[in-house]
Amino acid sequence: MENLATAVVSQVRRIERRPAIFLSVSLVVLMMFFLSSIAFGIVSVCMDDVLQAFLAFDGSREHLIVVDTRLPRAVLGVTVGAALGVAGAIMQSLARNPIAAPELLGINHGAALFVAAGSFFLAAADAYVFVPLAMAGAAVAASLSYSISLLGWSGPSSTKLVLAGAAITAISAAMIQLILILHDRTLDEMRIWLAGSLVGRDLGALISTGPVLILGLVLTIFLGTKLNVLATGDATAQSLGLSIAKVRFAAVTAVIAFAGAAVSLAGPIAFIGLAAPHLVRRVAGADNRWVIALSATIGASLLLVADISARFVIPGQEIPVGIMTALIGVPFFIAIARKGKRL
Amino acid sequence: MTVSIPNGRCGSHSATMRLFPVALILAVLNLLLFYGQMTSGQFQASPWQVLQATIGSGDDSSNFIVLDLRLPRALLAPMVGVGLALSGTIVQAICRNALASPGTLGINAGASFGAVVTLVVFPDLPLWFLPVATFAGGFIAASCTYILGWKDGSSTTRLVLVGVGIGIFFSALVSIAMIFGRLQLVSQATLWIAGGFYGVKWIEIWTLALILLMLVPLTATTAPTLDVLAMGRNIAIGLGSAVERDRVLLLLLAVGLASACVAVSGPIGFVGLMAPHMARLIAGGNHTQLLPTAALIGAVIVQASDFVGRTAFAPFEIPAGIYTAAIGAPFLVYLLLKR
Repeated sequence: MENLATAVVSQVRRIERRPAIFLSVSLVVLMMFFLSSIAFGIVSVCMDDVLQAFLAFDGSREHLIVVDTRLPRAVLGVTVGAALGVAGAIMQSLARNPIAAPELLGINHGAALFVAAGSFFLAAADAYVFVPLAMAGAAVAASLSYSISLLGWSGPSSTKLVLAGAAITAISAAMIQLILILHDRTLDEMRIWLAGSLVGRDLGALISTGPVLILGLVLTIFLGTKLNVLATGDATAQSLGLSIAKVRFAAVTAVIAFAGAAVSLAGPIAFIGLAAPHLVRRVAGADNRWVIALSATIGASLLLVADISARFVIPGQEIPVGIMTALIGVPFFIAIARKGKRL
Repeated sequence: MTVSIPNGRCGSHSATMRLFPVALILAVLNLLLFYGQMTSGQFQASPWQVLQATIGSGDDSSNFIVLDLRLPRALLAPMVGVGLALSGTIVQAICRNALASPGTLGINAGASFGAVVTLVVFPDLPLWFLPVATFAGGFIAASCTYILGWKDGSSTTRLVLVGVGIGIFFSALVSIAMIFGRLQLVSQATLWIAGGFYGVKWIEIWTLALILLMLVPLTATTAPTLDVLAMGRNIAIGLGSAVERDRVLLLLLAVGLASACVAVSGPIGFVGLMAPHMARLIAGGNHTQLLPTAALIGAVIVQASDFVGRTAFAPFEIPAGIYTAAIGAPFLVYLLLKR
């Protein structure tokens, strides 16, 4: 009997150890990608110069490139990738649907609609205007989806949330298309923003979304175990004493914060929020705390790899990072999906 | 994750009786919209003029407007609606996922890719090549989804995941063409990707009519199979259904329906995803009632969208695909709230 108990305990520990090891490995890998992202590009900077730029800045061309261009871009890449990964992990456990993604609530399309409308009416192609516009659009669209799912006397449900989000997404997408069809200049400006890009953003934009990201982080820290309880199903979770309405509200707010910040910083990048949780779930198991933590590191790594390779595919020209994430990530994603269980 | 299927609808006789008024309303709506499509526009035709032109004895201008401009669209729009709605209903029953639609299998992204290659990358290709490339693109993308989603038998989760991945991949290729293409061509492609019926030709109508004439009756016979598959793999096997064979054949049917529609109209969104949901909220989960209800709803949405797109900003045309969501979504929200 005692042997059995020890066996169970050691089994549990082994399960806990695996994601921990994986998390540390993925952090090291992320660090390597971060440094490569600073070093490689049209002008390559050797690692020694990268370190020197931080330790002993001398104002040379290489050092200026590192500090002014590459470092902000790498920081931005990590932030956006991690935010998308976390938002995707929360969204998938909230909607209980494997193809749920953070943009499900209309976040990306709402943001894109506001940016397109801004470009159409204000004739302003300025990133400083786009960031708050995108954030507002994301928040409006997602709150609308969430409110619809709450109304009606049958009460909220995951299916309703998903359908309401899909309806809002469809309406926003239609209105974006309408603007793009009516106006060629907006189409010209928007076709690059819509593909998702890290080019030409600076740390000012990142700082302006800082409070939103911190809100998302705080909520996520409180959510971890509660999402595990919610995953057992609404009825079970309720009988276990979970306040479902509160948890759902907090989770939706966290998703809006992370995905909204990501889309306002880099434009709609579709793939990472969907893929990162799937890529880590086989290692992390069912515990959402590990899934969320690992989704952050994997999401960030994925975006950095895509951003680095986007500089080299066509010589002298950059491909928007949103396209590269899809082209690089989809083969991996399909391979992982093929390993999944048969249902 | 699974589509919730209302149970307790055993008395199929009473369900049919309850459904009858709904079907009647939808059919009348279809007829009214058809009448509107034929009579209104820049040139207001009286019903008498329409009738005369249809039998070929009107004056030249009304003959041209009614027979060559309006009738093709008024016929094609509901056909596309029916095809997409039926395809969506089949896909949702097989995948048992509320977010599944023909687009989930990668059809829309593949079709857009085929069209963008024709319009932006090789703009010198002849015009008839566009529907061919579009059909091929949609069909190839869906085949990729099925082949890559297959491993020791199909799995619904794997299928939708792979389908979404394939869709994102093809969309990325479309984005590349859109970013590096000439603005004028890109603008043209954007218009086409929105999905609409501007300048349809009779040959396209006959082709689609022929395809639907074969596939729609076939779909009608699959209702019991869909009922069984919608219960999930294990129950379906327990009930003696050949799940793998049924899934392949039904998916082929769904892909054929959707690709054929998308080839003539461009990727019209929302209908394939939402018409089945609306029908389910109205008619319940039994496919004998669900399929015809979804088909009628699809026809109404697409015909109404084309009508609004043609007349709202006349003389400018807005593609029908832009209005499907605007017309369908409020209705869907109403149904969601009512339930």
